[in-house]
Amino acid sequence: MQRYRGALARLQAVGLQSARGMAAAAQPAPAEDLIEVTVDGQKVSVPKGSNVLQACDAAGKDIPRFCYHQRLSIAGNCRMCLVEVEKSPKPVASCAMPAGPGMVIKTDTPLVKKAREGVMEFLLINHPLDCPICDQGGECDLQDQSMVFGSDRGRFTEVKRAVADKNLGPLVKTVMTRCIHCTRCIRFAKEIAGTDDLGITGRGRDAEVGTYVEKLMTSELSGNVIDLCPVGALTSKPAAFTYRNWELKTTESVDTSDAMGANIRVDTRGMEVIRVVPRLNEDVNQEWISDKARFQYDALRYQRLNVPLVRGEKGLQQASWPEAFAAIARAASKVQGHEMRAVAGRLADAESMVLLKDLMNRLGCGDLRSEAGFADLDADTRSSYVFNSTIAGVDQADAILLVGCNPRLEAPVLNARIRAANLAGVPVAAVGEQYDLTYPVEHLGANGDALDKLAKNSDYMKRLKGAQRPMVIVGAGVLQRADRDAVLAKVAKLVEKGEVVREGWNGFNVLHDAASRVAALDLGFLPSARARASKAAPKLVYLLGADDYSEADVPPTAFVVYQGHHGDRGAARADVVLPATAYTEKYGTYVNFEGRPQSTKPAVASVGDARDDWKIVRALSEVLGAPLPYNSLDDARRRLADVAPHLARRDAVEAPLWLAGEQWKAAGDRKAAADAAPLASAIANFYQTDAISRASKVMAKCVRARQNPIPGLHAASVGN
Amino acid sequence: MSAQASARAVLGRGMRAAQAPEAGHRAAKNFFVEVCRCLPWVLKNYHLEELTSVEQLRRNVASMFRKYSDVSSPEVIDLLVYKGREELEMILMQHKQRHHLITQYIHNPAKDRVAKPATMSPFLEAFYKSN
Repeated sequence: MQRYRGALARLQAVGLQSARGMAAAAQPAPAEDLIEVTVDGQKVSVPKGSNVLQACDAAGKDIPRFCYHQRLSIAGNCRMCLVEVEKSPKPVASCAMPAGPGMVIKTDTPLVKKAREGVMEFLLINHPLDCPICDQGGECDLQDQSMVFGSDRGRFTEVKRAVADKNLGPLVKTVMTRCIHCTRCIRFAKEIAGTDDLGITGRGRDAEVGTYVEKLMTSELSGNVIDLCPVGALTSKPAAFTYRNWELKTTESVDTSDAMGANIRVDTRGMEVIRVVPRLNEDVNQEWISDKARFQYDALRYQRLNVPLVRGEKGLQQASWPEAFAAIARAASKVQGHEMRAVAGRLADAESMVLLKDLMNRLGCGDLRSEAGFADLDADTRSSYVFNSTIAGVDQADAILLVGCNPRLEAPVLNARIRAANLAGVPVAAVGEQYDLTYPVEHLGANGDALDKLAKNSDYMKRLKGAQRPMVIVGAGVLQRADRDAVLAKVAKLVEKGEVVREGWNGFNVLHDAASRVAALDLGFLPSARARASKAAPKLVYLLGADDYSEADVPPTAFVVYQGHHGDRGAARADVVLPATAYTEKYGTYVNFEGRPQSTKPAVASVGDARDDWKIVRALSEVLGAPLPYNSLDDARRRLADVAPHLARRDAVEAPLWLAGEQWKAAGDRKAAADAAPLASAIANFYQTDAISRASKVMAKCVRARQNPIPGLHAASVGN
Repeated sequence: MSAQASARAVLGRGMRAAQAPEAGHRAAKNFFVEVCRCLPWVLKNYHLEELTSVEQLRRNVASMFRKYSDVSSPEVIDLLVYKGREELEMILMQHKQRHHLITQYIHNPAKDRVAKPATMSPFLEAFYKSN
């Protein structure tokens, strides 16, 4: 035992060392790269290249601003951040002025106050006085700053200008008269989203932000301009006129619309989710979320399952919980354990999966699958199925190779990060189907043969070897292919030859596209050896929120139990429907594609007679005569930590061990021939990927808008 | 006014001091007999024949007396007898309605208490109630 422990410690030490060389970026800059400036008589040191505004922030002085945003380029056009710098004849715009050594900055002199008051007076000349009907009212930068820095009267007696509103699609509502031309939205679309949709036309009094010709925003991140807009010019269209921000109760939660686990804030009023906005997390989503994460919440009102249903003479009929459980117990009594199957859906949380696994094992069933493929993936080595470099690691990569993935649809926020790396000079190459990823991608071939060619001493291979921190990102679409093992063997060869995994850096990454997938693999929610070997069709199938199951997984004669929150494909097929809670209504652990366990929190009460997922499984276990010993959420989470100890450390990534490629051996042994079909992403329609987004009217509008991004052009193209 | 006077007559210090210890028991027994004499009339007057019988009613009343069998303090016995008589008078004077009697005297609360069969765990019970 002692010997094993020693070996384990050595392995862990190796794993930690080679985990990630990420510390470098987090270290403070060395002393010679710092310059000292004086802000209001207080000396502060800031890194070279900082601007005056950052120096003031470092000194704890709050500088009012509209156009400056730390993640966007500097425009310097709102002039609100004026400060006084000694030896400068005029006040300077602090965001656009680089800080120099020994600079003496003053932020609270009468000159600065007068300058800000003057700027505010100019901004308010053409700003309408419609705060009482403006959705931004109460959280508006212009409103707040005019209270603090503005004058109590204006001298402008002429007529205010009016600007025609623009149609930017079903998500962003515009009231362009309110626009103060800070250009944050333009810079966001150009720099972060990478779709050059917006721009300024006209000059001076006639300047307008818009798309020039009527055209909808075509980014998956377009909703973020609502947060960026400092005034009420861009607001949420689905939530227009429905709330005041001071009425809302906020809950810090996690998004489940993709596998990234973006941190979100769910704002609610009473029983309703009113809006979803991002929460800052530098390691995951920075401060962006995708449009699906932001706008799919309207589906939480539609198509909900709110009572248990049992299939009778006239189809699915309402029942009570004991009746529904009794129906399941009757069906389960007729089948044996090995004739059952459980399928976990895209939105299943880790607690309910671990409990369902325990229940099924107690009933003698080992046939546990995730919907949409890779039931037979070997999940023994964690590093073979997670995003080992971490999301923050993208910032340090210096060569990125995408294999059969479309990050723009699978994880739009990650795509923005890859784009930022690309803008900073990191070359991105791709093997697989070609997609528009908003940045230039070197296309190296479409299918498995291209991977073989790459591995054979190609030009790209030399570049990959020469890179300090190369990244290979394998898409979930590859894992769902029938010839997965053959393709993965080729990728393994590439990774080995390209030295993608090296001391202090693991560049092998798998990009999953469903929120539940990594947790399912971590917990071993996979078929047992006996279930893999078995060819018999199951007679009872338990769908844990599975709506995208393959027809082969659910035989037509099987008795189907569906546990979930939306009436979709699974519920329509089911014989018994058990209503569960959605991600805004429960505590649920979701593990993102890096392997970071995060928890959702209940923002609103559950709908009707619905129950939390883990509770349903626990209650059913008792009725089926195999009671599980977990009576509280803590018990369930303790069990989670027993099965997968790294899930006990929340909000942090436990770096998995890289077994020097040994895990590939098993896959490599199977001499399956690779298919010639191009390596493609499994997601074709970004807006509708799961039961929630399919039920959303807003997402449906987005799909329609995307088919026809330039209104009026569609009729002409149909004629062709 | 008269009620206060009679209370003094029952609970007054002078009276109790004069009583022998077993006088309390006797008072209770006498009162029970008094109640029993009234029962046939109560049964008829409140139309309780369809629900119960005199014997049954007597048994129920006796069980209510026995509930206090461990009381020995004369002050408390006096008080209980006083309250019992108050109740009896209300019944005899028709200040009570039929259902007061049904709930208080016919259904024996001690017998009505049904022990729930423990077929499910507290978790499942709570699960069926709400989320």
